[in-house]
Amino acid sequence: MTAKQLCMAIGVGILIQGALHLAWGPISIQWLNALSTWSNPSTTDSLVFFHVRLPRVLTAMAAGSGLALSGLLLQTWFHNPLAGPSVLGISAGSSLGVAVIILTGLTWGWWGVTTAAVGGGMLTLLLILAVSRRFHGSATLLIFGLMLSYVVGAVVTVLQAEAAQDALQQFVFWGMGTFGQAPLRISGLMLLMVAIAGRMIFLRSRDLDAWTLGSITAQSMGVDAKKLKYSVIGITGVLAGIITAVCGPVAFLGLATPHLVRLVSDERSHRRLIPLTILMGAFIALLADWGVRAPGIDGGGWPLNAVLSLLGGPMVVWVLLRKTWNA
Amino acid sequence: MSLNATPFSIEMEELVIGYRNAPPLNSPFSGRFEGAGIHLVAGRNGSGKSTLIRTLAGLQPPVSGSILWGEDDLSQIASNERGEGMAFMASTPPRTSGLRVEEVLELMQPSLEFRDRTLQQVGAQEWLDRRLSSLSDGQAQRVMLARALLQNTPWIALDEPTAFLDAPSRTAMWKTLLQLSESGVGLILASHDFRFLEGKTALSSVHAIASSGWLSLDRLGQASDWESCF
Repeated sequence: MTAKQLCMAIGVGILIQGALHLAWGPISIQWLNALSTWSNPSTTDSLVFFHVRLPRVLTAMAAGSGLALSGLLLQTWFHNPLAGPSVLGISAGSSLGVAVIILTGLTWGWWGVTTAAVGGGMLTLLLILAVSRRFHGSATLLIFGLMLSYVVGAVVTVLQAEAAQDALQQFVFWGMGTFGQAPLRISGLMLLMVAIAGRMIFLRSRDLDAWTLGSITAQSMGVDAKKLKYSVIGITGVLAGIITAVCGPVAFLGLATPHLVRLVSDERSHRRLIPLTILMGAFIALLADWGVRAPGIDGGGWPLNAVLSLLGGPMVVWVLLRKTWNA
Repeated sequence: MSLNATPFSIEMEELVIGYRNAPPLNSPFSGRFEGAGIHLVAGRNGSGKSTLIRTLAGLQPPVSGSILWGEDDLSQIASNERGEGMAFMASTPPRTSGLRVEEVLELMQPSLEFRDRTLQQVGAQEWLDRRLSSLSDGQAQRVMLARALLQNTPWIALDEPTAFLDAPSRTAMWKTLLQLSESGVGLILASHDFRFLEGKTALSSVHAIASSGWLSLDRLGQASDWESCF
């Protein structure tokens, strides 16, 4: 299958899943009724459609795509197959930003939480970049990310211990991860940002390909390492931060999705990997959301991060067991 | 900046090389590389050959002093223009790139004719469809040499190009490099493995980073005399 055909296949998979997610739920709705009143959603049908199901589908797609793209960029930049926003502690940094806002009782609204999450993620990423040049071998980087997550986690725990009860409850639910919290305009905005980020980094495909040959060799080919670094930091920090603010610290999607793409496709040039990874991320996020929604038909539902960890953990072990990640 | 097709002169002025937060590798030295052919940089392990090669190629900043490419200060040259002046080949081939050989070469956007001629030159025409990570070190180094050649620069800097190759691959690599040097390209080469070059007319100049400083000779003398300089 060529990359184009595979893109189309995944695209069709996204459309089918999206339609099923929109159609299926504890309340059965009439699509035509819902769509015909889109400008003034007042009926049950249109409320469920525009306020619950559509934002959830769009959020899942944006979060899956954005985290997958972040994972791909981090893996390429660090020459490390196990890099990803959650593994390197970027999600933890974003969580700290969110924790500071929510747990100290600041009521800054959506923009405040998002800014704090982006700031926290970006700071973590800068810290990792500052120390990574002293690291030799890929394991050191990951252990650093792990330690960073522990330290940040400890700070969050202290904040939790000091927090008021309703703030604590809000934070714990946020920490389980969900695609179901964002209003329609936020989910649309997220999707737009992922599209813009994807387009921006797609234009640097050649630089990213050159980077796989080694950072020194890439620079000898005229790649501006600083520009590329700031593109990777900017895109990863903003996407992971916004997604973490909206959906919670989502596990494994960023790390595992690029590997799934490498599993189903022979393509390794970023011109093909970027669109494939973005589409695959949306597909996997929608797939994982069945695990959240389906058991919850009678209330409850499984936490998103539990579902993703059940899928993602074995995936990482599989990557470790394969000797060459790019073969 | 204007770079001609013939190799511009490379001038080191009071150069000190090394890394940030580490003691410098040498006391200041000055020297010059000029014209086509092979320019050998020898020296003991840890003397700074690789660091010098990377510094000369503009891939890491000097601790102090400066490097001139022709008339221009290397530190002022933009990265894309730098890539038009000097190509670089590392001592180890990339091990984590999943790109196919064809895709690696395509990064340089060569004409098909130029690409195929270059592949022939390095003996890598069979592997276009292979993944770089599936090739042996010797094969991958030849592909990386082809990539450097396709950059079509007046200079190519090579850091220990034969370091990780077996004996037949080493001989093949040296033969290719000798052929190349006759086509008017300037090659700056750090190597321990220089006996192959003894008595070759393609050898334009010989230098060493010795404990006493920067040594320059016109020819490679007897290896035994030479090694006593270190």
